[in-house]
Amino acid sequence: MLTPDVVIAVAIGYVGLLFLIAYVSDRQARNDKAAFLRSPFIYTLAISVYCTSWTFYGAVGSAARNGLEYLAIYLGPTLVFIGWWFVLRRLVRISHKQRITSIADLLSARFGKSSRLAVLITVIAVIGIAPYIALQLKAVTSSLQAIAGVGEFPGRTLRGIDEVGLALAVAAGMALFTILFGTRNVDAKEQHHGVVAAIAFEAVVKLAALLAIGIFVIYAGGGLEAIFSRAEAAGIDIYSTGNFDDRWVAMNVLSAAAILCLPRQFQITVVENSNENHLRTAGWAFPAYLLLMSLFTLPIALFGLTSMPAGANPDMFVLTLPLSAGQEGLALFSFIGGFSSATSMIIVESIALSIMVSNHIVMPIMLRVTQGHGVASARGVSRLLLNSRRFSIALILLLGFLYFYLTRDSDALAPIGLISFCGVAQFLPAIIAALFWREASLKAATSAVAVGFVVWAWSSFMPSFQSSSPLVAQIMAEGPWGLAWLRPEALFGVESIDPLVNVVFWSLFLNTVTLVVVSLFTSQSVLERVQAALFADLFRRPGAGAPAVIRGSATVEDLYFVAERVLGAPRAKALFDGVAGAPPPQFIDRLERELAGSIGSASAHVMLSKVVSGDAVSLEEVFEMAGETRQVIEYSQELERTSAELRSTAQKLEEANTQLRAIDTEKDEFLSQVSHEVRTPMTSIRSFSEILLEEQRLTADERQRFVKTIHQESLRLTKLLDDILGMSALDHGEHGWDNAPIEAEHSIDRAIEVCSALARQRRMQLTVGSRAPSAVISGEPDRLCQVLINLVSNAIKYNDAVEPMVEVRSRTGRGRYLIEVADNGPGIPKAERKLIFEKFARGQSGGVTAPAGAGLGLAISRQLIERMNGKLELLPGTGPGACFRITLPLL
Amino acid sequence: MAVDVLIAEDEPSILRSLDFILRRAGWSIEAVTDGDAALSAVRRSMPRVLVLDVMLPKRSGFDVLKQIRADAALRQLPVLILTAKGQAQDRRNAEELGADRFITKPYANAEVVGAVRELMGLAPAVE
Amino acid sequence: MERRKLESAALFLSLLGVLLILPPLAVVFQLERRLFGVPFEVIYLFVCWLGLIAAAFWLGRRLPREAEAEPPAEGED
Repeated sequence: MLTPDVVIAVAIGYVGLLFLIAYVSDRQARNDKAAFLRSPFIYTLAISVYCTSWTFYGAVGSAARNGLEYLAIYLGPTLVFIGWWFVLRRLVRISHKQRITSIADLLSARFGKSSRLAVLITVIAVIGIAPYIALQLKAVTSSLQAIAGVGEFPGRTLRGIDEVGLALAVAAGMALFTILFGTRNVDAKEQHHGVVAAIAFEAVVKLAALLAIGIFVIYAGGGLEAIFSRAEAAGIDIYSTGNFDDRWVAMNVLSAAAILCLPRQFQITVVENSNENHLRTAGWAFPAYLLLMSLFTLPIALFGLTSMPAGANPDMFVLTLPLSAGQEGLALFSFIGGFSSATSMIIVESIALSIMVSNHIVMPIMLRVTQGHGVASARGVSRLLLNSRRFSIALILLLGFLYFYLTRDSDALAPIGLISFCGVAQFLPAIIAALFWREASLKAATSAVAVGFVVWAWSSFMPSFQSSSPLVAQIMAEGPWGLAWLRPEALFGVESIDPLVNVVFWSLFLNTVTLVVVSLFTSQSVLERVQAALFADLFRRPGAGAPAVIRGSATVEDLYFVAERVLGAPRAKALFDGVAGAPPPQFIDRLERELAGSIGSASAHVMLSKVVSGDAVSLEEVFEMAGETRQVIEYSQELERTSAELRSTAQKLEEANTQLRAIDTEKDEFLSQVSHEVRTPMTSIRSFSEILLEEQRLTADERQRFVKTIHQESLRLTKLLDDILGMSALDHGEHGWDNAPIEAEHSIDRAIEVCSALARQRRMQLTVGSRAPSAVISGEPDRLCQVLINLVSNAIKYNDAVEPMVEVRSRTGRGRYLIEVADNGPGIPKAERKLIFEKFARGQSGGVTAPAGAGLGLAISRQLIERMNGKLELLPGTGPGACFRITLPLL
Repeated sequence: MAVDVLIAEDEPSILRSLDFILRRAGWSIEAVTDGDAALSAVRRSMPRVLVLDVMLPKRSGFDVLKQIRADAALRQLPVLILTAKGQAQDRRNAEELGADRFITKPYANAEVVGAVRELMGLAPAVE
Repeated sequence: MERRKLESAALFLSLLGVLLILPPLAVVFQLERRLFGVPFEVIYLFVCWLGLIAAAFWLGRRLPREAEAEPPAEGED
């Protein structure tokens, strides 16, 4: 027989089991043995603390009353988790970097470490969550009553304790339980491995219980189709109301906001996260968990509606269906499932809230009241912290109970939950702005959250008291002071839409508008700007830590402490020489400039303004700030390096481009040159041909001479074309000869022989300097001779010295054979030294002074010599004249 | 003594052909083979027409032309530019510098003779 | 798929999810029809849900990991 005593005993036993799990897990985590605890699936299961007794009991009730609407509570979070890459990942990353411990901490950190904003967020969270805590108390109380049969099954008693007394007992028990459970120690990172393990265990229990009930219902109802058709036959048509209306949209928005803004979700998803990559598992696994949790909700609701007596509370179907079927074991399992949903929610929620309350409200007040006395030792601080946590937990559960007491006449679970959702959703605009909008300011965030909170408190929170307060009832009906347009459920006279949609729209709309408008018209403090940049550039600058907040009072000692750390003792001593008592403003100004030289102006300013405005400075904080500055400096150096690289690349490109343009110009000049070279013999040929054709009075001698000239010019033209083709052939690697061992000196002899005629004609000296006795190289004699003729004839042609002279000399040594052709002509200008060997190049100034024919020679010559494995170069000389040298390897 | 035509041309075969056709046309001829010589010959011989190649050693044809146009005594001398560089830019240069005629090599003999005759203020001979 | 495309895919998946479950798209599937006795819109929502989970599973394994999630210092965005 399932009696309340048995149930309570089982519940206590279950709590004991949770303790055991938490204890063992904590121990293992401390010994670093709990790799299992850090798996992404434990993390995902812990996130399932989202599914409370609202889900376990209330979803069925919601489905029975409002059809598909219950699904919106799970689809919103599904979408947020599917898109984890964009919001959750940012939240987790920034929170790890800034050691964020709660949602109040997050917003306060982003908006310049504002303690006022943190207090506001904490107060709103505590008030906003009270209905949610009440919901759990109500669910547990109702489930106990259902087991006892109070109401549905007359005859069973619960020792005369009424609903309120029961709820108070549950609240007290839960408070005790949570205090024992969550405040055994204080961790700097606010991570609770033991709690997470227990919560994950509870997630499995509640899912298993709900699935068991679902399968039982399908079995008892004769299958899915039978349940649905029986409901249809009974006229239970829960879909006939417009399912996908504005209320559906509003609930999706609310649930999506809640999964981000609920303090317990933030605690588990962000603060307890040990590895960012766990999100990629949770991204699909948590939606899958939600799907499983809501799989049987509709069949259970329909089966309950068709098989239970009219008037039975649909919120308790999960419990009453197995009870009425005599399945007491299953009913007990179901009770445990519901109990675990409620306990896990209360534990995590009150831990998260207590962190906020103690960190942002209790501790600052205690420190101020005691003036720091009694917290001198680390032990004192830790005891104070734990006590303030315990006090906070008790307070939170008390508030929950009070809300339950004042609203005990409303019967459904889901609407209570929605009130809380809407309350915490007021954080959403500020959170989104914190993550994505750099310009959002502290004043804007504070006023936006406050505006949203006021609208919510007026239109959502207050109406829940209408059954217990005549004043509220009157305001609901007529509006305050008879102002009808301020009626909570018909704000601004909008009566045609659902009250929930009404409050969701107006609160979030006014909230967002305030945030945007105030941000646009206010400015940020220095610290705010620094923090905003850190939040916005989260993925741009790796490893950026937070600039620490510095506390203290501005004595010379404090300033000296800072200066010594930043500047080093000798410089600090010199700077502080003769300064005593209260430091004058000029001195602080000078100090700031000194500090700015070391750590940058922004950091120096923030650092000093903090010290001067008065808070104690710790060594770590100074170091942290200096470290942060160093990262900024490294970052800018990195940027500089990158831009230097870019500059050099651009320069190289520019050079390449110039070279290409030069080659292009050279090519044009070359073609023009070739054209000139071809036109010259063509001119003679044409002219003499015309004379021969048209003149009848020519002597035989004249005729003979003209024909000879035509012939010579034709030969010249042919040679020119051969040169061009030869160069083209060389270009394409068609060398046209094989190297063989030759006596190079013979080629020199022949070249001198050919050129001496030209030299005589120009009345200049062609001297032969010292010669190598013999030089056997690998090459082709005619080509070598050709190259030498080219070099010597160029030297002769371009030589305009008073006593023109060209010398050819050769020598051997170190396995090499050198031939040099030197002249005392004008030489080659420095700028053209490189160019003269280029394929299409011709001396730039050559157009005027140099006779035709020099354009092709050097490029071809160099290629010919290279073909013989040698090289042709212009010796770098300073004196008058030029000296070309051919270097060939000796055989 | 004054000559009818002064030819400045460094390419021997072309010089020979010009000398031949202009003599045949009945003019007295003097020939030089570089720019400096051309300038001094113009001053010395006061030719009626100058036939000037552009690509001359020592001083380019364009430079010679510039000097002539800058000299008050020589400014009126008709100049026929002969060049193997037939690009539009060269023609523009010649016109800007004050060349009276511009002929691209290879030329038709009649074209040169006609141009010289024109420059001498004579009507083109009817063949 | 490359990093940027995967990120875009993740963004579009979320947006698609929003569109799928909200009117007017959800209303399109609000037919007066039943499958195994279950109203069609219920089936529709659960199928969308499953699809989103599957897609998120697929993407979760491919989106860049922690180490490579850090882009080099460059003017991204």
